[in-house]
Amino acid sequence: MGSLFTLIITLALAFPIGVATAVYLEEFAPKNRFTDFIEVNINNLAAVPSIVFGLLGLAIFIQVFHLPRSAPIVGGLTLMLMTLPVIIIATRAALKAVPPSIREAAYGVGASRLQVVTHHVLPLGLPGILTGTIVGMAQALGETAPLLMIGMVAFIVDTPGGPLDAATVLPVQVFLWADSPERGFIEKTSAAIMVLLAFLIVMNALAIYLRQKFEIRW
Amino acid sequence: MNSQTEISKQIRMRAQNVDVFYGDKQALKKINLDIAANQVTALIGPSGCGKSTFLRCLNRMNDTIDSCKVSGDVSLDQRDIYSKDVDVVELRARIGMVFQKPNPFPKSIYDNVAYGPRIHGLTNNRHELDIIVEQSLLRAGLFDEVSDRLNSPGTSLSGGQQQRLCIARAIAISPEVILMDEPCSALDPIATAKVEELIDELKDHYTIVIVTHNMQQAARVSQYTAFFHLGEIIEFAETEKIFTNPVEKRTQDYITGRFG
Repeated sequence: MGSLFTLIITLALAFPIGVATAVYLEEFAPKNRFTDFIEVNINNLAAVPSIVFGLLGLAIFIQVFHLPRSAPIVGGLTLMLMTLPVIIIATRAALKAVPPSIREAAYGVGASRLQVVTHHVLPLGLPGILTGTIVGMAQALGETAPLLMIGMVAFIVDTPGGPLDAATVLPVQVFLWADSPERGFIEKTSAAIMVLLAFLIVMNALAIYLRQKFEIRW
Repeated sequence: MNSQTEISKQIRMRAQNVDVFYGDKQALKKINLDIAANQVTALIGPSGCGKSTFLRCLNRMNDTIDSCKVSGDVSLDQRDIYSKDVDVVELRARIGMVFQKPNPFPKSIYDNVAYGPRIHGLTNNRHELDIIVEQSLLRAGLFDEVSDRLNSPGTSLSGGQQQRLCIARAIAISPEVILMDEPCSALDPIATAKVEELIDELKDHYTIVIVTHNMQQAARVSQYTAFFHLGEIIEFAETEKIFTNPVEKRTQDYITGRFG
């Protein structure tokens, strides 16, 4: 349940913000030094070690905003920061791959910039955007390090009732249980790993399915 | 420079002292050209001489290229199309464009043609839209071939049909001027003949500017011809005069195939 809440929050925040950022940067933003600078930064962010995001999440969401420690909302926000650059980069790549002839055709019949983007570029880029998003989400699902920093390590017995309750996520659970010497934890750990892997496989399969479903050939 | 040939017909578009720069590179130098209403004006010249660039100036397609700067006056019915109060979207609805490579949207044939009228709100109901689509396809000479499969994707058509679909799409918004950028260069001779025939019919309703690499094509379809070379207009006159009795030696050399 912890994983679920965390991922829902991550997706709900990272997808709209990421796609909007990418569309703006790719289609509307003027090309100048400032946007170049932002671009370089986004590319760098994607390569930042995840534990750094954990520290950032700790500093901002818990210290500054005083959100409850160990809660999925903090985990989700932190993972959102981490997934955002991945989604932005994937979306920009997908938008770039839309053939310029389609844009020209749309401009040629008098479509405005916004219409070109919403009617043509976005639908054509959608499979790429979805794939990128799901890959980013799968990465977030398997992430441990940043969550350790925000305190999702506590031994939590109950399943959380909402995004503000204390919770833990699957990879952290695996991390904790693997450390325990007792006999029963070996099976528990194995089970948790299998559940995690199954989810990852399902998500990646979904990515492939969506990509093929929406793929439009020309 | 013989670009001041008098046009006896009514003038639809006029370009005066048009300079175009791509970054530091000057692509067009002081272009003066009048485009007669309801006539076909052909732009010929070797590759990279600025024909397409000039064509794209006429409906401000160059706006979409960041490094491109246009100066000078281009007017449509005596109104400067580069002035601030001109709505580019409306302008492009009045000046349609057909591109070198057929580029139908990855949608159905019907939606391809209906897209323009839809975004410009030209119709109030489905029935009116149906009529526009049918009329446009009829004018583009495509209706008979596709009338039974209007819902199949536009990309499933052959190259020549796709190009006529693009022409249908362009005329669906009833523009006054149609710009064609080498519309036949990707087509076989039979499809080319069809498109040329179409251009000839369309000129009764529309003003057409066509860029072409094919001398015979220019001679066949156009009434006026402008010869571009290295970003300048070398000669502009009635097509017949250009091809039979050019003033400039360079024009003669080019049309007889001695260079370019």
